[in-house]
Amino acid sequence: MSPRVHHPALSEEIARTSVLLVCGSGGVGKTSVAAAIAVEEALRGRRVCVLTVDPARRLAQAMGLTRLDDRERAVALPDRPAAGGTLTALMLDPKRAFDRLVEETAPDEEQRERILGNRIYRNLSENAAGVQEYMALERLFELDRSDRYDLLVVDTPPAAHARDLLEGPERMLTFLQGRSLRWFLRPGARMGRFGLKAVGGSGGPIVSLLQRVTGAELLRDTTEFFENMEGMYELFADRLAVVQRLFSDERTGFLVVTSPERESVDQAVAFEQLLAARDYRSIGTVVNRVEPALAGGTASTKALRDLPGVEPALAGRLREAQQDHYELAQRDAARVAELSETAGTLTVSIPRLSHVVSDIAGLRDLSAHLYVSSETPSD
Amino acid sequence: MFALMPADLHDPATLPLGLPPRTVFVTGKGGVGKSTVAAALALAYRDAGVRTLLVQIAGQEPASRLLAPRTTVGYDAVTLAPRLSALTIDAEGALREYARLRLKVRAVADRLVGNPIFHQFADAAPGFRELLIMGKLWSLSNEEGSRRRRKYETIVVDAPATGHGTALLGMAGTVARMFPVGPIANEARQVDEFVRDPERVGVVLVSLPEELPVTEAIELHGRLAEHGVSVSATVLNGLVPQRFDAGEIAHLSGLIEPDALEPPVRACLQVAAREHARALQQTEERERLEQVTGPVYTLPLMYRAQLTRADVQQLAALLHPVEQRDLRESLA
Repeated sequence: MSPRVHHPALSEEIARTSVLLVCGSGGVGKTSVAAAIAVEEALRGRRVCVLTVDPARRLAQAMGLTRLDDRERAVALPDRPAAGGTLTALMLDPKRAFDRLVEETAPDEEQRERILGNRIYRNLSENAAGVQEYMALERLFELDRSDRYDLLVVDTPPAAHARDLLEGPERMLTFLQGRSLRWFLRPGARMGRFGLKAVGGSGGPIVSLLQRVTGAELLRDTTEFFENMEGMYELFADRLAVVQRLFSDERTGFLVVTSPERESVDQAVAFEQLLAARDYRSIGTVVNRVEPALAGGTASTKALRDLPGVEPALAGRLREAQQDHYELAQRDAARVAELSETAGTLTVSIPRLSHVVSDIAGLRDLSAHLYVSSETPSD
Repeated sequence: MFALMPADLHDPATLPLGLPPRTVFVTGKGGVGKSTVAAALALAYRDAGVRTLLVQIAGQEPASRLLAPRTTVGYDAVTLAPRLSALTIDAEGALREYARLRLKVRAVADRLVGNPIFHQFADAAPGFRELLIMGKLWSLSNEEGSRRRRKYETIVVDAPATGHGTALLGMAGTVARMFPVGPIANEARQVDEFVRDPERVGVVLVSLPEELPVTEAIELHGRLAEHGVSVSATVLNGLVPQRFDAGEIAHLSGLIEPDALEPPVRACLQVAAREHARALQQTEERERLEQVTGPVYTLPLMYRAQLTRADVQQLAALLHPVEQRDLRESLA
């Protein structure tokens, strides 16, 4: 990557974005970054809605979200916003969202009840890969279509891997499609045109083997589940296709958040590459909790000993603290440089704050770092 | 003249975390240093003379890499050092092993596992994969080695960091309740009994001394209790040292005020003040955690880009019970 690429400031990028997906692996401060941007943009006069799945409780309280109730709720801003600015937050409950989707899309009451009561479904909507992501996107699509907001900020679900946001929903769909299982297990298929193939061909023995491994009850529930999902899969797939078109829209931007930790940085780089491969617009990478570099080099032991009232032992400990801090700052600076080079995107660092971000004032400290006007790659 | 102590007996007071040999799950949210703790714990058991197996679950950065960076660890155990082996369980391997066990005939089982229907089923069936991973751990814990002894006295599991952290430990109980009859149910009940037996299974909770991780650790502690699983020990990782006392910091802060200081000296004093503030904050978080979990073990923040085996060895030494450590220090 060319080190001399000019990147516009993050604030400019955000200003021309109307759907912002804040991505990253778990525990890097994604929720805080998403919330900080939402507050700042609302203050600048936009109608903002922040969509979150599992925010830290205190942060949720700070934003006035006390319940996970899947509703849009107005958030009080710390200052008077520019004309028209509003902030709304929505805490998504994936399980409820899935139930609602089934209620809306099931062709009749009977099928709806069968799905909602199925043991496989009840477990799936909480545990299966990609369900949270799919539901977040589903909701995003709805909000975007409503035209009530200038900016939608999505705090993507907590996941082991950043790429789950893009791949999770596809995995969920592939699974729901249940192609091979449905083919052999449908009672109709066994008696119908493909009957011979299922019973006499390769399917029959496999099913009976499967039954010996799993037991009849579990197999029956699974079969029933896929039968009931018949016809609904296509609907889900259509909706996902629409959301994926939204991903490649030029008013959609991805912001990758990472910590300076090795694994997190590696994931951020891999995710940026994934975005580039899919031709999605990345607006930058935020490295959160960076140990700030020492201003003006290191102090010598002598200089520290010369301080009034500083015993040699204390000077020694000051030196140690300085040395440890220096190592950490060096490591973090190297990671930030590595990111901006390999990811090829605008990289913004946020120093480790000495306090926990737990209210709107804390969020504004974060946005002060995010909205620095002169950010360009550090080389 | 005294009889030889049976090889399987160890004095808990001399063992890491004061925890007798068993299957130990190292759990916690992502990013708290779970793999580091798992690697250090495995090393600590080995050093205490216990035959140890480090188990990692496929799909995450392998903990064994901290101990043997160049060794690839697969489904079959690899010896890393005397008394220390490692293996990686992947769902695919566990599926195959389970099918072979149930269907007796290897070729028949492999045919089933090679069929996409089986995989689809494994994706759909609640907790099926987790259950098989646990089943594998259960059988490892019973594996017989030479001279009719257990092959591994302690198995340290670097459990995957999932959204809720309880998937692996709580799933068997959930499955047993959902599907009360059939072969899966039997498997689930067996695993569930194993997981909830504190004589056979220990759970080590890992967290960082910061607000959100501590809150999450407390929640995880509660959820494990709901599943009937009790936490045997808690490790707080990444503590900054408390190098200064309040008086010293007050004095140093007083020195920062006048503009006479050279920039490097000024920066150094600011570093000290910041570090002190962070140390105070982590003490608060530690106390909050200890109210729920009881006394915790602590590991220092390592000021390194990359941990070496020597670093992990140093951390391993800190996982020994406090009394034991004091004794060693006084002897040294």
